[in-house]
Amino acid sequence: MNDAELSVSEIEELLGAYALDAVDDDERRLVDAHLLECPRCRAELAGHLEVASWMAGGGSRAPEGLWDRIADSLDDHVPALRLTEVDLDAARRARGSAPAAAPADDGRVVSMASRSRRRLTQTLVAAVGVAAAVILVLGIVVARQENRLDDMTREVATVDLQRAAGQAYADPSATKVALAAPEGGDTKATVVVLPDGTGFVLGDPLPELPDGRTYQLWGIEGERVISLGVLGSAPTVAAFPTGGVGFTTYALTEEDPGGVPQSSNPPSAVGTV
Amino acid sequence: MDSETLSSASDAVLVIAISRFDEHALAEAYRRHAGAVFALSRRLLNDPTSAEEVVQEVFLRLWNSPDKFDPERGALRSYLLAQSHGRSVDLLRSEGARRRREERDAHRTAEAGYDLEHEVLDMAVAERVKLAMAKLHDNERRAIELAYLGGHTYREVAVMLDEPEGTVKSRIRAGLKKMRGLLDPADAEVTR
Repeated sequence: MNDAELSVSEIEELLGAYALDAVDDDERRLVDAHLLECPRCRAELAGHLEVASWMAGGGSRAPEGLWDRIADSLDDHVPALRLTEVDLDAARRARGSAPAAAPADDGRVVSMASRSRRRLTQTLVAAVGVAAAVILVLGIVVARQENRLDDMTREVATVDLQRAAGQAYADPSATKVALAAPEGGDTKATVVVLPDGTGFVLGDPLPELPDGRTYQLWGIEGERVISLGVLGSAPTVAAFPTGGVGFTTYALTEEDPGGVPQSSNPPSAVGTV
Repeated sequence: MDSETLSSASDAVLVIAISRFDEHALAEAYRRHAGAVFALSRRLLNDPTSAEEVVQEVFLRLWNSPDKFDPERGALRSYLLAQSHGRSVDLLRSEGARRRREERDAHRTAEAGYDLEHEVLDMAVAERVKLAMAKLHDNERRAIELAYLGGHTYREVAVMLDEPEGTVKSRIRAGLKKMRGLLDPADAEVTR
């Protein structure tokens, strides 16, 4: 079977069977491809999937102990992004590294906030292009990632995320930061931060990454680089809490699924406030 | 998020928190939906141990790739159940001998006169859904049940029911659309 064998109407006719996993692999691929470009079929499929979920019923309780096994395996499946404040000097001592590779001439940790965008970008690129141990010395300090989602919860629970991001973008009091490739060029994404600390990142659009890769958003404040979220391979919009931190720079890196606590990859996009 | 916030958070907010590696948010999603995910997989596989593995896979996938959940394509519950169904069907279809045996059994059932109520009653199907299914034409209902609850492709269903493939395909789609119309999600108790 090939693409030419199925018209749009034939693909539409397959949507019910597709929703029930009742198509063969070739047909599934054809429908998958069609769904990417057809919002009407996506809407119909969503309806079919909802009906299927009703047929599945409420079910019973999951077996005892199953959650414990899942929870135990979380550490094996994802990098621990349970970040804690790291004392820079302690980090240096732990790594046993001299700060010789730092771009600052005197080897000190330098404040990124004081740099121009161009210089800052160069610093960031230099920093993430070397070994992780050196990055720590450069002052990429992982700060405590607190779950400050309460405010965001109230926002997002009641409105669609896309709409919330659109409203934030239209808010004249919001801070907007365009993220572009370090070497310049078109905007790839826009970060919008409301005065209450709720942040959104909107792809403009971001190029879709291959399977097994994800975008990760970072906020930089002074010497701290903080992970703000793992966005997936083709994000259009995502929300994140800034926790009241006044980030001066935002950056996107491409990482393995699940993200990383500290990146060793060059940023694919960066922007300064 | 604290437990009180989590318990009142929408599924969309839970997914955002999960994307930030909030294990408590994943636990809350599990509390809400794992029972249904497990029941569906167990029904398809007829094997509690394999069904547990499917549940584990589904929730680890949500943990590792929360971006795969697209709110535009439906609720989190629908997404998790679709994942559970898809993975269970994959397992079924990978077990050739078992599959062939099931097909033979199902064929015999079809030949003997398919018994809808017998097939469905062991599911924890909400009363409203059962009533809606009962309003479908027999041939629509049979096709949907054999595909969804039996894990068969529509081509297999066509063989089992001795009907043209195109007819079965159309009946599945038409039946799902009818059920969608019969079950207004605005007041259906079976939905979150």
